[in-house]
Amino acid sequence: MIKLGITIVISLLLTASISSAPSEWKISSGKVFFKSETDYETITGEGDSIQGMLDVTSKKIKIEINLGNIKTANKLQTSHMQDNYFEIDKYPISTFEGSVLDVKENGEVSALGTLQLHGIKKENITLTGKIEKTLNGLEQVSYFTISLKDYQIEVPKLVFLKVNPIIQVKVKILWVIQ
Amino acid sequence: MIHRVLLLFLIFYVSDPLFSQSKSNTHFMGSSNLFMPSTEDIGEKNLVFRFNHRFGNAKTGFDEFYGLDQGANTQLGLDYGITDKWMIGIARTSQLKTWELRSKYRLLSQDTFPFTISLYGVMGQETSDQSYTYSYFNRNWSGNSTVDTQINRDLNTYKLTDHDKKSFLGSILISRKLSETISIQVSPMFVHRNFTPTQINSDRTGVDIGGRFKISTRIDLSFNAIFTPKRDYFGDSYSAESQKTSITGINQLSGDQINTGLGTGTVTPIEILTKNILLDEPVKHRFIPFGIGLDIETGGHVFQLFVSNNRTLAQTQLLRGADFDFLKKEFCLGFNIMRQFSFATEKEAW
Repeated sequence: MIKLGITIVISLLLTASISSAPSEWKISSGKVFFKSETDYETITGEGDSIQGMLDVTSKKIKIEINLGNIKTANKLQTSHMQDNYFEIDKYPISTFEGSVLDVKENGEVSALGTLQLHGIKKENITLTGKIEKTLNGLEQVSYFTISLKDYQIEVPKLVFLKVNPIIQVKVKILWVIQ
Repeated sequence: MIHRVLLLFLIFYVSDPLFSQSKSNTHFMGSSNLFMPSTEDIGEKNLVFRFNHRFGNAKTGFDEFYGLDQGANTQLGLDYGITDKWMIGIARTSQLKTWELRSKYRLLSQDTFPFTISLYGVMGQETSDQSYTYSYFNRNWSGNSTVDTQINRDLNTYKLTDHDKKSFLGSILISRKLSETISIQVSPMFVHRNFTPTQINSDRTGVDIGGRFKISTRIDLSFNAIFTPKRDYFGDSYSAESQKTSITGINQLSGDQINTGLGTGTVTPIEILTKNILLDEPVKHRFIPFGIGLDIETGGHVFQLFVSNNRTLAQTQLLRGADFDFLKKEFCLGFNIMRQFSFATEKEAW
């Protein structure tokens, strides 16, 4: 009886791992960069807490970015950004959920979906990127912009000239096929 | 006492633990509170420039523009973050022309421990001319009273050396973010002064208790108070101060005056009774430093605007006590401005 049970469990585990093996990509590591450029000041920051997965069969993609991990070079700026702009106590994570047009391992890729930031959801957002197969996995780089107004991130009047209302974003992701 | 400490610890510990990574771990708006530094780091390769002002007594009201007409005590400070946890700094205060070297190191942070704990140390060097006149021990007697007074004063006056004018502060900064809007900090501190006037111990302990309450995303209400079992007295000489009565200009009779006066009949017992007992007044000591105000963030700057009873800016002099008595509507206006710069280079090309 026990033997039978073990065999069942093992066979279940095996089938589970086999069935899920080729159909999913997972983010093994990644980095998020942002840049705000004005005549007065260029503010850059980066974070490396990013997770996500892509279902190859359904083409569904989900990416989560931990905003509390994004830092600028200036410590004061970092805490103000996290507390007053991102408001990470209320909205700790930014997500992108949608579906990719083509699952490719090389070349230009794009995805259509909903981007959620600062508690605001924006639908029909197209994100594009370049993907390349390397020894480590699949390396993807994406550039896009975010309008602070769209996500109701308020910039105080005193620093209005120092923060560009359109923030440039760069995302580097290393996918691994599971 | 132990129960109280335990209770305090429990209040700290039980209230909403913030161990989650994505919660904000910012306890205070800037790296400094009203009097003492906060547990906030400066940050690696970051430079903080600080410009602090304390104006004069505002009791006179509009006539002196709430103390702004009187000269302000100012401090300029620079702090640099060597690593994320460790900073060094220098400050110059106009009061007593004080230079201070300071350093702060963060031991623990609230994302892994119930409190954020930093060590803080300051070495202060006053460079103004200071002297202290003792009760006359050596007396000159030439017959000319003006000359005598001058010579007696000179004979019994000690000019402080640079070594005398050094003082040291050590403190443990302990803070906890109780909720998104409320943070408190308790900073026990110890100060050693190389020289102190009579009746003042050269070692002193105290505790700074402060907190902030977030009013909006960019404005905090903050307060600080420094409790010490002992504070300095007003005036230069304890014996001169203790001779004073509640009526200015009238002094108590000294033992010498009573003995000779009673003998010669120039002093009556009633005079002794009134001056030395009825009008007797304890020596006036400085007050518990307290300040309350607003912290305002404006992208890269933090302004702290407040009312306080304390004009002292040099941290090694904080435990000497405050200048003004809130109960007599005496206070001063003050502000701290800080600007933070970063010297870190971009790690990766866009």
